[in-house]
Amino acid sequence: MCKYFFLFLLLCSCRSAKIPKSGVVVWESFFEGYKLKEFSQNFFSDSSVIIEGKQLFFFGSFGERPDTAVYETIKYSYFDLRTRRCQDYYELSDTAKPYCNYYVADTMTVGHFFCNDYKLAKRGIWSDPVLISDTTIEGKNYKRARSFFLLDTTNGDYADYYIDCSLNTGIFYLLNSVDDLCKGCTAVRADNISKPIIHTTRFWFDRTKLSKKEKLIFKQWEINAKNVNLPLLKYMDGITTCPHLTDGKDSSRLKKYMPELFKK
Amino acid sequence: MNNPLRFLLLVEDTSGRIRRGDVLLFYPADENLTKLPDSSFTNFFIFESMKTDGTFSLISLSDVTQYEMDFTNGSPGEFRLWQGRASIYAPPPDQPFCKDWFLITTVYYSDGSIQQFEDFLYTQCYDDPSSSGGGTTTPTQTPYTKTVHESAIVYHKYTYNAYWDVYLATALAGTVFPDNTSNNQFTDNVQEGSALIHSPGAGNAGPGQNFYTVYNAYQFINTISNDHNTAQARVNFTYAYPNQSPPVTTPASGYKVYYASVVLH
Repeated sequence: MCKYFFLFLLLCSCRSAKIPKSGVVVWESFFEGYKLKEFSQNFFSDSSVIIEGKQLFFFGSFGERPDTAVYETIKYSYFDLRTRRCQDYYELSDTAKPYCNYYVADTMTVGHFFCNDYKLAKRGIWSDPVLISDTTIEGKNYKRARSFFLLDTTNGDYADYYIDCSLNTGIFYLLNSVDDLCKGCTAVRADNISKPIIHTTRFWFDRTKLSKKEKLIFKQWEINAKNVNLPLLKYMDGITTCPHLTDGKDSSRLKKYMPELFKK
Repeated sequence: MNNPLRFLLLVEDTSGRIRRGDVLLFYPADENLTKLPDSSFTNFFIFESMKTDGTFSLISLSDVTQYEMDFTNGSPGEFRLWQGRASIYAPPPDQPFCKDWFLITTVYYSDGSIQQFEDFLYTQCYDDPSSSGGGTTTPTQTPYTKTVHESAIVYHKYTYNAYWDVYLATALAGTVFPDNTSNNQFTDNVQEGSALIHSPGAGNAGPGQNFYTVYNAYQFINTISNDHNTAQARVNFTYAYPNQSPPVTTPASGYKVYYASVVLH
């Protein structure tokens, strides 16, 4: 009887919530104590995602150690998880045309998601995650898991994962090996701790609805993906050979879309 | 301003002959300062930083101010460049040679952004073009070409006791006008490489560490402004933490702007 009661409790604590079909997920990464945070928006609709691609620009005009930066959007990537094909755009607009077309293997990330971490060559780097005590942050309960860094154990480095069972994030995951500890729940935050450094990666739902304009963009970009007239490149070839805004050989695109960079 | 500390800066060529000279004045914020700290010139010319608050002023031997730079807390606050531009290129031989003088002010804000203003000052005409740098006539010093090798930190991330820096090395070639360095011009800039340097702080050393960083510079971009007075060296790179859980890769870009009047000596 007692055994069934605990099984009931376990099922309750790990119950999955409704998976939203569309919306916006925000990803964030930062060092504790460091003012600059990296973050990006990820629009999704069914199994398609539009990822805001951002880049840090450091201004080294003067000073021995420039400690300031701007974090600017340089592209939007339309990624179809079914085909794992991706097209890059300069603008988030239904009239924009793709300028890069590439395939993403499941060992790679677009933005910061969609990588099957079971396939990563990380065996032996981290111990298998195990559940530890729950915690509450701002009134919200999280299950927690912990992995230990195995390559060098002198510092006692470890990573803590915060698992949210109140909302199933569906296609988004940081580490599926952690999610699998508790079916229907998702690790929404990872803290890598190498004392005194703490590096946090996390994501959350900003909203679970798309605007009319965003829906229109998804519709058009899905059509564009089917009719794209660009060579299908490998992922890294797409990064290095496509005419991205940051390609300095032709700064006209950068000037057009990011004029503020040239005022500084 | 307090009384300046005065220096004569002589630049020699490889054979030891003096190629040019400038007067350097430093107006210290602290009136009791009588001597600049060691490596002040290196800090100024290489890193554009100063350990002492005050204003650096470079004046040609013909007594024309070339530029000034204010420093507060080791960082530049304002850079003022006096720039003379020929009013008419190749004026007729019997006509005076005239220059339009501009004051170009660059303001450096604490958030890292900069703002530049350009003010027309006046037009000055000279019967003898060789005296076009100031009030006294001095022997003309022949313009010459020069290549300098510069390196700069174009990316910096500091957390607790650890930091990550990207150094960008560039060779800058151009023409030096000894009589008026504000006319110096770049003709070429070539990137010589870049590297990520990080401190031996916590979790930050090698491939066996949690915070091991992989740096990949995949694109170098060099530009020279239309007026050839400034050059920009930029590197596009990614830095990744492959050992972290989950691994993180961030694209980034850093650049350095060089002024011909400052770096070409």
